[in-house]
Amino acid sequence: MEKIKIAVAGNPNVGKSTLFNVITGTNQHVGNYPGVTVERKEGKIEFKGYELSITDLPGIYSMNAFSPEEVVSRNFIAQEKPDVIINIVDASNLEKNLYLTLQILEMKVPVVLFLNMTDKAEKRGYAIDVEKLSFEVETPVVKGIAREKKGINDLLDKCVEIFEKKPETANVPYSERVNKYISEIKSILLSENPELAKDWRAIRFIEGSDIDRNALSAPTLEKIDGVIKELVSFTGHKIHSMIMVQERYALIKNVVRKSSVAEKKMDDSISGKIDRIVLHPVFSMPVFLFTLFVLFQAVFMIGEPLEELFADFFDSLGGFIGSFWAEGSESIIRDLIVEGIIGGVGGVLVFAPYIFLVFIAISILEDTGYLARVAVIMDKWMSKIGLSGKSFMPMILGFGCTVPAVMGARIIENKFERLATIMVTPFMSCGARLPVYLLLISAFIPLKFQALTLLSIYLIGVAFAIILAKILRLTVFKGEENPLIIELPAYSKPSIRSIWILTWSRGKHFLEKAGTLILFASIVLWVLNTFPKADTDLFPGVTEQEAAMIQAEHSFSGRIGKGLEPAFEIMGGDWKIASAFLASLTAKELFISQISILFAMDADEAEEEEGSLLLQQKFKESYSLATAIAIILFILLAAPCIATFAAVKIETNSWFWPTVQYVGMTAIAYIAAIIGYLIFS
Amino acid sequence: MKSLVHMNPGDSGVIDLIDTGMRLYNRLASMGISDGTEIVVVLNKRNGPVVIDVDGNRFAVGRGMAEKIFFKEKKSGKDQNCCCG
Repeated sequence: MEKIKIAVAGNPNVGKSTLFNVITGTNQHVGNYPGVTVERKEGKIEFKGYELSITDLPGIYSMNAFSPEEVVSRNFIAQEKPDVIINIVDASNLEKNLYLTLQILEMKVPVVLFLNMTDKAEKRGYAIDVEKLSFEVETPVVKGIAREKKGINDLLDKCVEIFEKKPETANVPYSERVNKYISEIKSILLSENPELAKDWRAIRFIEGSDIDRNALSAPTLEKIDGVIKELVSFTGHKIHSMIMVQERYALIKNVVRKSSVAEKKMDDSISGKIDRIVLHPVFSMPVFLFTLFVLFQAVFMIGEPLEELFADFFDSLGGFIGSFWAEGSESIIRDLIVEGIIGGVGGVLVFAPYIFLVFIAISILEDTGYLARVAVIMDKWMSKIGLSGKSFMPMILGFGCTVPAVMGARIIENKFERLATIMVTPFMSCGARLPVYLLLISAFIPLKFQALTLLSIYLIGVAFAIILAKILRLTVFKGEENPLIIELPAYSKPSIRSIWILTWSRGKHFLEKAGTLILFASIVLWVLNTFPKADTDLFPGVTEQEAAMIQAEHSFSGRIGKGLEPAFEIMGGDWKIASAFLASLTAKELFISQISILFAMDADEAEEEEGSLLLQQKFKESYSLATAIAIILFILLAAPCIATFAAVKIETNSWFWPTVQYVGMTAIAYIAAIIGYLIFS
Repeated sequence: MKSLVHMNPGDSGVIDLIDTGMRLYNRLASMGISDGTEIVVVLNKRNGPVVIDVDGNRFAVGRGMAEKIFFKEKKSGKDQNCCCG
């Protein structure tokens, strides 16, 4: 089947994702563009004997390569050369949208304009004559309403027609004098590298986007700068970017005037009224905190029973598969399948409900238009520590579970702010760390200080997050400050269909990527805990728990724990603590089960009240208050769990950042634990 | 000339000068904000971003940015029945 490569481009908030979802349905794939954390969405459908391969480019305002999204879009169009570009524009907002359209047309690629939300435009007393618009921009125009699936077939028909007939691309009629300079720069580029001799590249020089400067030799640049200087003195503009901006808006005004049928009316609709409360100097915070509270509650209240359900399922699956082996004939294979593989895969899947719920919550916030307001409300506070206003939400989610919090950081556009947020989010103490705190606090802290201690632990985590964010933004993530300018889209009712599609494809992406990594890690850990096998025959009459303890001590991880003992003696710990720490590097809650095995207790029992009291007793006998403080600090600050590692790997699209985070946090935790020990001993 | 940070909710004006680098200038232009654009100030609270209305579209502009956008003063919010703010 012949393939047609289509890209969908457009401003943010014009219904681009809706259009993409309507065309491709659930048949889509979410990934990342190489090297950047920009989401890449693709889908395939069959249409009239062709295979349409559709890429949803990120929402952008221009092709000036101001943001990673713009770089990705520009490179996609310039390098991957799609057969057709669907440029979706908001019919009620034509002037602003056509700016990007002109920049796409400058690239001399086949375009079809999709005039979306014509209903909304008409409501605002604004109508566009499609034929006149098409004539003015020399480009096919299709009108429709993506949300109601209107005009979609016409649009795809047009794409096929363009592919088959390959009509001439539009000519953007800038003024003669600017055209003269564009040609001049183009001929200079031609002499250097024919590949670069394109109208749009010449225009970027006039605009002052310095994207191509590195690719050129100094004499060529000098020549180009000479031409621009001439142009500037000719037009008398202070900023030479202004030349193209004015050219474009003059053209756009002309196009809009000639193709509009009715005049646009100003409307201060419901959005304005909602904003008066939502962005109110006093009420904005309570409204935001309340929304966040509801969101948080919903995610973790719905998520928890689902997580348990998943966990129970994998437990019984393990039990069921394990029962294939007759009593007494348990082999290594059985242990590998039941404990290594099913335990490992289960370990990923129990996170799935949270991931999906967080994606649903984010999609709702995005779709309703509230997310843009959140960025505005929190910007004043978060910018002080070098983060985005949008960083607040993922960080709060981190108090529940770090994995969805890291995934949630993708709402932050600025690359450096997003990376910094991802790096510090694990310091927000997640739910899995709580049992460890509770155990140690009840063992060592007098009742009246227990709540205060717990609160302090959380605050120490937050303090570390704040300090590290600030340091990171002042050093490695020093990217240029993106001055805040955010469009606040009109509030709208979220579409369940698009929320579901987006959630499903994002969630699937996580499970596929994280699944393999976590499976691998679980098998490695299983090996470390299982081998070498201790010969329990040497200890006749031991109980099952004692046998487990002997095995734990004998295994690789027990030996590593012993090897690490000197490192933990400095904080009053021993090899048991070292070994439990090692286990906690996979998942924090494993600290308790590992240490209870090492105290020859039943790991499951330790979670019950009686077992917990016994464990507290053992702790009090073996360790001091100062050691307990050191353990708490280590659990709070050390490397995140394996699932978080996988999430960070997926979200940063690199091995480097999760590794730096893993090692760096562990180093910080170790130092903090020693300091904590020294203060309290 | 008055910069955007010094405008009150309800004020409107025509942009006279955007005193910024080229990248930012292009960025604003692509969002429909450039010399000669008419804007209405919706919200301007101390320290917070300034919320403006440009041709029916709302934008939140950080204060650093707002300091660099200058207006020819036109009319104040008190003289007209402005619906915003």
